Amino acid sequence: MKHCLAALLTAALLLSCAREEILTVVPDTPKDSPKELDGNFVYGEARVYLSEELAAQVEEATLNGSLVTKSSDMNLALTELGITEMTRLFPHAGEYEERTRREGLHRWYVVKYSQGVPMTKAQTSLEEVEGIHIYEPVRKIKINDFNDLTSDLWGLYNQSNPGFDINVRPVWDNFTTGNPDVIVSVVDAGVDLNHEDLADNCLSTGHYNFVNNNSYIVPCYHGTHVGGTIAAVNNNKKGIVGIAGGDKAKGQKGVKLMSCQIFVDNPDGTTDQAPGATAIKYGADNGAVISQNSWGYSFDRNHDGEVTGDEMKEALNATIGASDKAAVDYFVKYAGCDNKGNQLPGSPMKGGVVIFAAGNEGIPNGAPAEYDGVIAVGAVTPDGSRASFSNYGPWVDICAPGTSILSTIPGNQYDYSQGTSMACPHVSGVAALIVSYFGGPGFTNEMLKSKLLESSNKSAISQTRQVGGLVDAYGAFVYGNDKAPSEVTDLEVSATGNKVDLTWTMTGDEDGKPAYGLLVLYGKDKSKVEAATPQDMQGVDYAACAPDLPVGEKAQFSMTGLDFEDQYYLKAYAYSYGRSYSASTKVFAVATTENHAPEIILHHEGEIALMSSETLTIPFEIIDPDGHAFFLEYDQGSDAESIMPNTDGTMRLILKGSAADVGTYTLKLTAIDEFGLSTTLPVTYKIKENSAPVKIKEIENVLLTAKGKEFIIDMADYVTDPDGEQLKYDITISNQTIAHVTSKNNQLIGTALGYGVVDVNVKAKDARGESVTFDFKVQVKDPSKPLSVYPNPVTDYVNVGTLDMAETNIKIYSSTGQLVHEETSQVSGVEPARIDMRECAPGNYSIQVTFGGKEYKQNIVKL
Amino acid sequence: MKKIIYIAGALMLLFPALSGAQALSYTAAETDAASLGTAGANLTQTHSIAGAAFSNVAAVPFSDAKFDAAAGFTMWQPAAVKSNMINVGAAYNMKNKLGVAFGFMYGMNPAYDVTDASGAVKGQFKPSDISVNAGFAYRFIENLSVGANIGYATSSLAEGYSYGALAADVFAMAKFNSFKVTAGVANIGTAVTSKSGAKFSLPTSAAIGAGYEAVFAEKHSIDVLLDADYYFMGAFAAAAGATYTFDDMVSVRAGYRYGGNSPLPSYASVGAGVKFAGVKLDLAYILASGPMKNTLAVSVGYAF
Repeated sequence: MKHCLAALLTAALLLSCAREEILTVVPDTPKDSPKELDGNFVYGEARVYLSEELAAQVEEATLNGSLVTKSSDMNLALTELGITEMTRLFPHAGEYEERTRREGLHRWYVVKYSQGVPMTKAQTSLEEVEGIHIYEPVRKIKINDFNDLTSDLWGLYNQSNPGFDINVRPVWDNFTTGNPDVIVSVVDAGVDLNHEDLADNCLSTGHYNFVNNNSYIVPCYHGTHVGGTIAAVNNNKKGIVGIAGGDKAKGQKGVKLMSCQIFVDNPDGTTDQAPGATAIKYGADNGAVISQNSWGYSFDRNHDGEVTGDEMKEALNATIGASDKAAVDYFVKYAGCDNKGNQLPGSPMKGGVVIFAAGNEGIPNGAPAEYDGVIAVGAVTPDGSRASFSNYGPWVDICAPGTSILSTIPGNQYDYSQGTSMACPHVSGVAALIVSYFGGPGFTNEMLKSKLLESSNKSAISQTRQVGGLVDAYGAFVYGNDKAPSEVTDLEVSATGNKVDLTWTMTGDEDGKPAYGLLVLYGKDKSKVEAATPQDMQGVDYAACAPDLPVGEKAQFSMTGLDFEDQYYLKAYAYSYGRSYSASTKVFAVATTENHAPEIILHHEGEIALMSSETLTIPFEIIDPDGHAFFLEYDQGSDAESIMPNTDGTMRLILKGSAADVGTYTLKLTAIDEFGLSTTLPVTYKIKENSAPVKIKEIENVLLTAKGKEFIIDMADYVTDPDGEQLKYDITISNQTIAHVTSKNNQLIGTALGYGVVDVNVKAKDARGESVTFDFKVQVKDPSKPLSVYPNPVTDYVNVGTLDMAETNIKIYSSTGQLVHEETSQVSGVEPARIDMRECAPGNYSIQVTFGGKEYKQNIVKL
Repeated sequence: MKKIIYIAGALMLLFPALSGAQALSYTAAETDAASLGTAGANLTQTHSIAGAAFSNVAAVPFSDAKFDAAAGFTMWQPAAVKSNMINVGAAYNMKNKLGVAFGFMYGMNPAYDVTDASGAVKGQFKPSDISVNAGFAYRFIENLSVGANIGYATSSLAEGYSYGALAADVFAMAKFNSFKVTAGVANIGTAVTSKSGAKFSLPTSAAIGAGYEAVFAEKHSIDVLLDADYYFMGAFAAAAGATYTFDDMVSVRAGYRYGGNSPLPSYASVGAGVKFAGVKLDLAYILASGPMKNTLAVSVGYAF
């Protein structure tokens, strides 16, 4: 049997059943067309990107109420596919139509055709049309909600693990709580615009339902939850607080939410969808500068709730769809701007940011979040670990709290939820705060991104998590606004295994304020390390720490997870909280060493042998020379073994001799470090032969002459164990109302409870269960009744007892006087005469007993 | 002779004679004062027939009384089981042709301590015995009659444990002047099953009896009785007794019973009786060294 102890693991795998929370639409994968009968796609609908010429022809035709164009190919497709509708994916944008056309978005069309036409046929026909450059199928949408009630707004203020939150309170106290000039378009299911904790921060007009193609927003769970995290009204004595929700008590208004509804929850549990691309562009054309997107592509073709096999391959290779990319690029370029791309008067920012949830498959990819043009947001737990469901990779720009997030839901209700969908609005909220404070003429989306991303807390979330740094609201506000500390000049670097230890003296700025942290840029390519800067870490890795020490103190930091026996180069920067970096240290070369297997140290000398009755505890410890985390596995030798952890981190092997047969056994302890290197220590032990207890003599009968009297039997006089064990005694008494007998240590202690005779059986057994048995009687005698005749009535045998041992004559007469039994024998109370009356007919009998010169008579009844 | 042995053997097969005590053995005992005075010898008793339902109803048609009834009290074995018995009996002789008899006996046994297998006292119980008999006889010729009793006997021995059996006696009796003889089977009945499942028969016996009665000088009469029983359990018993009566008013009785291994042990008895205007009073006392010692019976009756 193989046992596995997850001992001293620094990071436990979270086997969470977290499910995808972000909303999903179909990816743009023209070369990877969906399989026929794939239930994950919308039949009878596709998106196409047309040439300028064909777009013009289609536009002209549709304006005339027709679909017939001058394109014979297109007209042929109309017939073959039964095309019933062609509409612009990005509708006419009014005053912004100029830039829409300039960016080519007017050439995206939604084509609706007969649902009876196979998708492959539609793809073939449309791709053969000259002038159709891109064909996109439309994937269906699914929403997976999962809720848990575990904590309370920890993402904003983490009291359990300080430092693992978005650090927004100092921003509220010192800078801003939001600004109604900043509009965040929530591209999602509908926001409950009338929610008691949201209504004040929702636009009065300008929302749009892209599913139903009207301005009526259908309140939905997901969109309302996302919206609450961004801009639930603060200080209103209701519900929760939003990140940029203003301060109702102080009369400060928060940022404005624009609900761009692309999902509608139907009463039957299904969800209708609309193109996210259309909604993203709409936001840019209607004043939003931040586009919040907690949705992504679905790859769960068979709708079994899991992404596996081919679905996983597809998910791992997915990229943003062309139409979505076009929309994102448009938003980034034109949000807050006029047709020519100039910042509009009153706009808080030139250009926009599109923020996407990384996705919930727990894989190193996520579309469309992987697109460089968006800010991809991963999810972390309250202790700074990457949420098990969060997608990850170098493409994830930043992370935020994503589990057990409390927020608003429709109907003035509140609920907990989790997912990168919940992390994403944390980043959108902080971005909105930044724009609220810094926004205005000349403030650009790049400036926002710089503050948002450069200030992320990289010391709280290790780079190994691959979800970027933790969004840090206060850090973003002070980013670049404080003085850089002086450079570290005494950095010492050493390596053990794949761990590099750094030691240095804390530096400070010119005012004596200590550095907030140390950023280490490292890699195997010396030239890249030399060229990298905190602002451009291209080609290198980073690690950061925040020692919280005064100037002059020695600080230490260890970088783990490097390759063994390899050459690394590194340099370090001290930095302030505002991410003002010192000059770099020189570039150090450091060679990691080989990995050393853990050592198992058993604190026992000589042969391990124990009696069957013994329990032997052997302490042992496991030391990894490289300081790596490790597992302990062991192959069981026998049932005698158990392994328990001690409070000091060591362990103990417990051998219980009675739990296994006599013999010699070997167990194997195997310590495996986190890199798979292991050490095995066989431990052989012997369970010695057991010797059964030995009876010295029988226990004499006991006579007690009054109730309440006690007796004590020292079992050392009657039984001994060659192994020296303390024996255990199982005591059985024929009648518990006459006497009670128990054992204590090595004594039997009895108490008279009533008159009569009881048979006492005592089994003296050792730890292995081998035993000797004693039988004796305890008689509790009423001195006023010398004769004892029992039981009465008699079924088969009757006992006739006297007070003391005496020669006793016993006669039994029938009711007519016939002598049916006579005997003379030595009789006492505990050794009564036992008379067989089985052949006596039922009836009354008279018993006449003579002992000690006296005659006693008593009636008995035979049944 | 061979036939008699054959019949007796057949009866033994019908009523297996288990060793040891017989079930409901008190049914073999004579407890009325008149019978106890002659040590139980009463099969050919024709002067005092009130207890005929428990002895030989075939004697009733030969009785010189037309009706005889009595009620008695017996201190049974005061030195042993200490039972007190109440018995009531009556017989009616219809024109010396037909005879009917009825008898009832109620035995009150002393209460005993109920003890469990360890000797612990769990309570008390007072056992009791009841026996009810009825008999009919027919004197079909001058010198010969036949009769049978049938009854039910039961003993209540413990809470929830009562044992009962049907029992019958069958006799033929002949009288030639002063000589009387009778023969029959007593206590034929159903078996009793003990708690542990063993079966026990009633104290069935083949019985014979003989008697001689004589009157001297008008006021003196004597009645000599002899009974013998062979119990199918394998025991023999016999009883002999005599009654001297003066002027049909005062009687004295004496008798001896040889019990052998029968349910009823050996003893000697003495008795006396007075009778005036049909009302009679009888006493009996047992002389014995065993359990029967000091057994005393008294009865009051009326006969005409």
